Amino acid sequence: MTFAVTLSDESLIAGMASGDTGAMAAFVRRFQARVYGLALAVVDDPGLAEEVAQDAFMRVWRHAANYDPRRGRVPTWLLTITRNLAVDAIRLRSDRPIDPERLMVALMTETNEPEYDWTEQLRVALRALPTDQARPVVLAVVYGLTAKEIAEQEGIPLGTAKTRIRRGLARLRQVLVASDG
Amino acid sequence: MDERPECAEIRELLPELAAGVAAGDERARALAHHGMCGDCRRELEVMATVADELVALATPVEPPGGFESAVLAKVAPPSSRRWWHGAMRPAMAVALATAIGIGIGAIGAMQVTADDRRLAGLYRHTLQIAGGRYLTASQLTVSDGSRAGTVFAYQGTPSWVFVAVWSGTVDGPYQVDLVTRGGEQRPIGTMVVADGESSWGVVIEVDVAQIAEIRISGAAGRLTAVFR
Repeated sequence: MTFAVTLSDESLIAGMASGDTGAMAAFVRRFQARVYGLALAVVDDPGLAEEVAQDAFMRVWRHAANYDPRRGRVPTWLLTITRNLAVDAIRLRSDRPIDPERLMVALMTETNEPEYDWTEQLRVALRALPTDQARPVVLAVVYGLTAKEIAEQEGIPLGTAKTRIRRGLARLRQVLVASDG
Repeated sequence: MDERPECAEIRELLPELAAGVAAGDERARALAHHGMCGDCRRELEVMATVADELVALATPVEPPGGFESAVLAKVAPPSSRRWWHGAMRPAMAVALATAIGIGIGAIGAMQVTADDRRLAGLYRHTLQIAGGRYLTASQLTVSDGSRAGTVFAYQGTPSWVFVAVWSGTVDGPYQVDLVTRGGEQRPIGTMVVADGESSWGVVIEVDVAQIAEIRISGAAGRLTAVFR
């Protein structure tokens, strides 16, 4: 009788919390393409993206003992850390203009990675959003811009920026709620 | 839904709050409201999930060569961290229970903390349910002595060996052999390493106490776990 399983993301985090570098190596191999891909999509600079991705993994290593599965899945936690570091990095590099069009392409492109059904539905829903709603949503969620900053960047009134973010997220939310049901 | 007078105003703030870009005063106002209103709190959770999953849509891109080793080079050597520090994780419970059961025993267990005694009790209960006598483990190492994974061996009905490989070897099929204390080498199966990882197990006919080594051999070399 034989059996085979893959160590769960949570098991690797537990190993990292205990100082196991083998678990860390496996964790990096499992997620490096997603972390680097997100960092590159945000900062649009391979060297800077590599720094951001390395920092993201180091942050997970240092805080693995604090991971709480009740507050979200491991990939969500890791990618949120990556997004925050990438946003900090581009804010420090004010010479690089923010380019939501490029990022929207990166988010809307299908991947060969295995995905949850609702991930693909979310991608389809993002594609279906009017551009004037999708841009503010991406600028807020991925680039971390406030409604005021988005209004300035897009040349629209603050109230309009807020409305577009709200309507865009509400439409995406419908996809997620429908796939849950 | 138990709508409060301020719910409509707070829901206007939720998208920015979910995206993490709400202004400080708006954020404070919304969070104070969420302390009292479960409906708005749940709505925020759904919105925040949308935002998180949107970030996860980014196309994966393989990083430049040497990325993994660059990350690992920044990690402190394991010897500088005491693994028993911090909150105990579920995955470590079995290993700790094993240490208590085998290395310390009942007398030693009385001398450690109440949590450890409780853990030892859980371990005994688990063995009782599973018809087992004990669980032991050994580090799986490559030829230079670096850690590649863990081999667990369970004495019970049935007895089994479970191998977890995390790093240190290349992909491909590996022959797994059990070496008894009498020096006899018995093939117990074949495992496949993919993406540098593998987890594999097999029922064994030999008493765990008779296992001297588990050897895992392939084209790339050998991994060994020595049992004492």
